[in-house]
Amino acid sequence: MKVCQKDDMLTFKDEPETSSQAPKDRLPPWNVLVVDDEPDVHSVTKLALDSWTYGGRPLKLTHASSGREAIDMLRDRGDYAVILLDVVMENELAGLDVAEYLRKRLNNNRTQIILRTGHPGTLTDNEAAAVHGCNFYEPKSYITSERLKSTLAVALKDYSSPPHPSMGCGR
Amino acid sequence: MDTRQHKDEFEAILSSNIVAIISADLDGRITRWSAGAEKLFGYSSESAMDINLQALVPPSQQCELQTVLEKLKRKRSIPSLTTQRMKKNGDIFAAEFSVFPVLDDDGKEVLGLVSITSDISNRRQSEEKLAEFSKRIETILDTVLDGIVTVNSGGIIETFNPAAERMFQYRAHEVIGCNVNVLMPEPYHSEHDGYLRNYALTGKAKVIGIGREVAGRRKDGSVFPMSLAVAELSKGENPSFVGVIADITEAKEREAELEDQYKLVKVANDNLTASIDRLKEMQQQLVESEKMASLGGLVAGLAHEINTPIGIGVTASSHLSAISTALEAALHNNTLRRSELDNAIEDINKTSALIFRNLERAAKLISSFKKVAVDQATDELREINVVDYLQEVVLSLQPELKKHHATVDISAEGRFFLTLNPGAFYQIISNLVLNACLHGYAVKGGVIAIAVCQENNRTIITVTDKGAGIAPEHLGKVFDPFFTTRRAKGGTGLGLNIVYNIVTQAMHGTISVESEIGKGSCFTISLPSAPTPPPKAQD
Repeated sequence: MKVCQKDDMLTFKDEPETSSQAPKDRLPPWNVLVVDDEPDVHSVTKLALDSWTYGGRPLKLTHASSGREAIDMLRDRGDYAVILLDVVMENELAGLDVAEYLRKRLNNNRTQIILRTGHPGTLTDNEAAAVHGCNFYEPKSYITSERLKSTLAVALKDYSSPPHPSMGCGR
Repeated sequence: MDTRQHKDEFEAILSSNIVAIISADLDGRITRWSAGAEKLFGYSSESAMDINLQALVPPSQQCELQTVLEKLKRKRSIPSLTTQRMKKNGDIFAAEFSVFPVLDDDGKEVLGLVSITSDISNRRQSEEKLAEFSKRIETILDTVLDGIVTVNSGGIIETFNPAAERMFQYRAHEVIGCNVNVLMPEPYHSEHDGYLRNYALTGKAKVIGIGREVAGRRKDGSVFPMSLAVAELSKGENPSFVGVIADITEAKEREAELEDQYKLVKVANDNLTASIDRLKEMQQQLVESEKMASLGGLVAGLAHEINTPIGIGVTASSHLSAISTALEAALHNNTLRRSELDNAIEDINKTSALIFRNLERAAKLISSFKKVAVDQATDELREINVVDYLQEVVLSLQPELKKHHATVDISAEGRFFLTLNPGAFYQIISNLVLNACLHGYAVKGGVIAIAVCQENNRTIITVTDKGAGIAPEHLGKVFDPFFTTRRAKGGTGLGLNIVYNIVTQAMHGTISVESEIGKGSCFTISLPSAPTPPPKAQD
């Protein structure tokens, strides 16, 4: 292996062959729904997760800018693995309404909900998460890209594995 | 000399018209008729010669006249007789009548008579009036409820009316002639003679003409409160005094009752005042807690608003470091591809732009929140640029506005500067804007228009929404304390009352509201301070 000196010109590795992998070899992406009324949250989520994969499968992000919109999307298709969900949007509990709609109306207990919020409206953090069948609670100001990825990894693992009776989210 | 002079004097008397001088014979035929007789009886001298004395006497007195004539025949004179006489026109009047016999030179034979008659009807009337008056006074004294006692200069009782008898339980005859001090308890009993002497010497009255409340002493020694008015009846050598006395025992009792009632009322009143004070204190506390709640709401809003850009910054900056770590590893292993570096650079650009934008946003939020939060906590006056400040307020209310899908449109005709307490101004505007959100746009969002203009040296600020409007039966009450339609949802009903108090009391302005159901509401604030130009054009 060649040892690089400080002033050496940068030598790039050759680019891989384009279209080397046949589409049938690629695993389908994880469907992730990002719900937030703040456009920059969508941007930063997209940037942070753009090239990230779990189990060799990339993420396909779908964006909703309000609770109402998210409910419409959840009604349209049921194969979201994870929802990254803001709480305070058009009203103080808009995000929790989405969670409740998913669990109670759509009776979907498999899709993992990661609650991300500045502060969760009128309920305390853990109450909000537990009562409304949310799996994870992440205060916005603590979500580094690593933490986002590791939480997503756990959520995707839970989504893929058989239901765990002790999770207690009404499954 | 003498005869002549006597005759003249006699003529003068005859011609005087004060008395009637009439001569007649013993049969009563008139022989001489004075000027006074003409005037008194109405007959002329000539016609009088044709009448008899009987014509001058009313029918009821004819007997008397006969008796008089009989006496005269026996040479007896009648120096004075009070009787009645009759005028030519028939009027009868009270008269004093003197008559003397006229004798012959030897004094043996009675030749006739001479009489003097004067009209005493005036005097008679006066005497009758006086008697009548005395009788009345007596009746009054007997009837009045006030005790009336007269004393002489030595303090000896001269009269004592029945009311005084009842009050003091003495009969009049028991006390008349006694010193009036028997009616007084000590110390007046002993001091009263001194009072009288003092008054006689100095003329300085303690009671006379003044009246006062003193104590009286009954025959049995018991003492009662009385009011006493004393007047001097006659001045000079032997003054006497009248005392008018009222027993005020009952009045005193009523007074005491009233005093008791007054005390009760006063206690109740004091309690009421204390309750009002407590209520005021409670209201003050509520106002204070409303202020703190508004501050608390502000901080909670700040926390949420600021967590969003910070969260984005945290994710983005940690993403940058992930890119950097990956690049470092690829570089170190010589596995870096140009496309990867291009992608990384593009990512870095995007991410750092995101970080910068959100840091800026956080900084701006903090600065505006700090301004309004500090303003909330202090009572200092300072000059504000109204439009700029309105924008700060609206920025701090963004979370609420966003929630209700409301936007605020600020318009102003020119630049306005007001010197006021910005915290109070914040409370006014935020309350009105939040009211528009909570009530006007509770169902669906819309525009809240804030307009500033000037009108006759006053700054007019209107806050208008096109929302639900206020029901007519509520419109008159919106500024009342504790009036709310949202009690169940945690409304205190103090928001607009605080706005009202701040505008009218702290800022000496006025606030009014117009509204129509379904069309929206408009609050108009008028502040009494003309917009002043900025100190210098540098602003």
